[in-house]
Amino acid sequence: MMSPNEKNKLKLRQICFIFLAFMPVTKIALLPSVLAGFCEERLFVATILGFLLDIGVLLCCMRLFYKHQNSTLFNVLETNFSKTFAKIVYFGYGVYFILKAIVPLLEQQDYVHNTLYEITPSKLVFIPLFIVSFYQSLKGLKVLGRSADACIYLTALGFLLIFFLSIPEADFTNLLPIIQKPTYKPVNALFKSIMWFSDSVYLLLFLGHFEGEKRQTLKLTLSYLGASVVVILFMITFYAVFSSIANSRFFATPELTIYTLVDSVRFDYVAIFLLMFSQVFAIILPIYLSTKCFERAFALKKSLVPAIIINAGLCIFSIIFSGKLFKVLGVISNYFGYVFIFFGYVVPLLLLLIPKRGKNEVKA
Amino acid sequence: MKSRLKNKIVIVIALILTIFYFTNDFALIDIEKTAIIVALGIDKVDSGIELTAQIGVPQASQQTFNNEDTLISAKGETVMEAVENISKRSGWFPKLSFCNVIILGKDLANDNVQIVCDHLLASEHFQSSALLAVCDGTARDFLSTPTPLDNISSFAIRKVIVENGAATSRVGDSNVKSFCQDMHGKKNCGYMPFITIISGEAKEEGQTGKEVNSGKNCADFSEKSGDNGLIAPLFENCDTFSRDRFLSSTEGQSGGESSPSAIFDATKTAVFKDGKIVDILSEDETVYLNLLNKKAQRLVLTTKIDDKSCALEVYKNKHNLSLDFGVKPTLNLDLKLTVRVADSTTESANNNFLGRRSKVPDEYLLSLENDATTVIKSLATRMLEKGVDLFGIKDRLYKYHYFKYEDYKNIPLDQYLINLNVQVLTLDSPK
Repeated sequence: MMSPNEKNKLKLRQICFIFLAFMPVTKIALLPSVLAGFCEERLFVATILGFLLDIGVLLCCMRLFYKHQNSTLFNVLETNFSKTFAKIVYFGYGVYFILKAIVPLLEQQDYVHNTLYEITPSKLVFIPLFIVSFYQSLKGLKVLGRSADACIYLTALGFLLIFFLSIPEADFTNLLPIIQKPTYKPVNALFKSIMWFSDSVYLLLFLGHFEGEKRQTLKLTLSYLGASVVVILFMITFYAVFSSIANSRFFATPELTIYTLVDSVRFDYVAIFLLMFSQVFAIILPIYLSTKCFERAFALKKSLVPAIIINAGLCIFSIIFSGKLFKVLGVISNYFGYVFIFFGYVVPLLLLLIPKRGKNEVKA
Repeated sequence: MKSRLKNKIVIVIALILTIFYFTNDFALIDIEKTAIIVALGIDKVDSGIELTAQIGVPQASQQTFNNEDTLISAKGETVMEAVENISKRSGWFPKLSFCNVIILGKDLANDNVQIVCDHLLASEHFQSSALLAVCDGTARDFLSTPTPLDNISSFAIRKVIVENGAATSRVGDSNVKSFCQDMHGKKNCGYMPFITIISGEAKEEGQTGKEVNSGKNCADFSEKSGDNGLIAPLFENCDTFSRDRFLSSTEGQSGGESSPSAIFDATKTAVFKDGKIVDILSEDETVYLNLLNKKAQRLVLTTKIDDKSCALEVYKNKHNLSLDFGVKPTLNLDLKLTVRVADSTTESANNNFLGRRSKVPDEYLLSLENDATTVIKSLATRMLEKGVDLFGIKDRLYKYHYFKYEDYKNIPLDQYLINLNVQVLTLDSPK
């Protein structure tokens, strides 16, 4: 039986926009300073390594797409193993996506508090995000596509403004020397910040939910590459502006632009607002996918129950851990790094081992 | 129809939620209870830190107020504790996002500014783009000094540091970010403007001096002009003011309208190493340091031969700092100035001035070249002898000679030879 989600399929363009609009905006708050803390001027090397792995995962997903004739991941697992196994994997991904949502969520909370509020606001101020997230979680996949359609322009304009305002203050010689003695610092930095990467794994959940097009792999890869280039440029500009103090600049975006505007109107807030708007939907994306995973894992007819539980749970979590971002980040990075590697990189690779079967062929 | 209505309701709710989320409506700041701090003065006292906050007071067009009315001060062991004490004392939430100038007292500069600057950088309450300056005395006294340039003294200080385009070439400007970057980088040294007070008393004899010393006239003058580039030449020959003398003269004034009689000078530069002030660069040294580091803006350099002087406008400055590792490590300082005549008391440089600018006579080019060489040589030698990496030797070593970094990073700076090459060229007249 077709799930309601399978009825409203995404267009390939919308998946490309999901990557372009949502992937870069989750990597511009805390990640640059975290990477700079680990590998200083080589932060962009860690970023490039991360995106190369992500593009590898994207290609794995597309291989699955061709191999299994655009079947959903659930169907592939059910056909080749069992329904229970498929449910277990979906449950695992449900938990993984919640974990993946936690850091950007708290990051966004602190970012909003620091950037928009002079005094610490009420903890309830973040509740509207969960109302939007709850509403979106009840909808089909098209809602993601439509939000990406809308946000792509905001993200593009936001980044253009950020680069326009920050590049005059940047000293790109701060990134020298480019060629250095090889060290493990960028690899270590990538491992410690792995929760920010592996966004291409979303494509695994989109399998079977989008219509194939000509040269689709190329289009998706170029979209992901485009989003990666924006993030890498952001990292480079960030370090070029801050150099030796980059590891202490936790919320990079408002900081980057302010030096050009010392005697001018703070129109950098336009960029900040535009990117914040896209960030809301970018944060909701893993929450949404988690809801859908639990819906399939527990064979529910509607997403209502998992949507309530997950959104209410994350809402309470964000209230309790408000302002404790760095503690949460430390726990996730120290204890859950392997979970991110397993679900983000290892599982898509393992799925490639599943043999190709006929459309109606079910495992005996 | 029903679905359209539903969609509209959803859109309206989404918009309302967005407005709540992106605005400050949940935590309104009562504007009447908020002190918008425009400048901070930080002094070292026995009990720790004394913080003097200058508050931006809205000014009605017909009203004037005393500069000291805008100040609140409090003490604490740390900067943040002092900020909290201001809040406790005044019942105001100190809003520091608009604090654009931070003045450090000389005692603090002699002790350790690094801890304070690191706090300013790390705290989310402060703007890291705030200008930093050290003053010749206590920051509190400087902020309470009335000045003809503005009703609020910190605005006047800000003007002499950045707002005049020419000032950026004459002032070793620095903000919290750039200072901390230098201090935490390979250079481990930094600089910021050294603010002194120039008295208007010396001008009492002249007509313009009267204008400046009359409170009312001064207020009118500053309102009408607003360009300190016009006022500054009036005080060009004034001696640096003895702060104590100035304060005693202002204290003697009976209440009522204060008589602004001092302006600020930021053309000297304080150099810091390991958080402490180690040297103060003269006005000329500051200018040439800027010429070696950044693009000159509306900069005029005057050179003299006998009694005749020639003011040369710097049209272009090409600078290059590099390192060589031959027999001995060498710091190469190359400066190429392209100048044109701005004004002159000599006929040879002034001929046909109205028609087109004349070429600069060779003797004046040579004279400026000698001036520049003398100043830069003396500055570079002194800095290297003191172990102050003002020219970023270690930074360049790391960036451009990475594979030699380990071998040379511990070599004392005074072991470096200086290879200085200054060239002054005249700008050809437009055809």
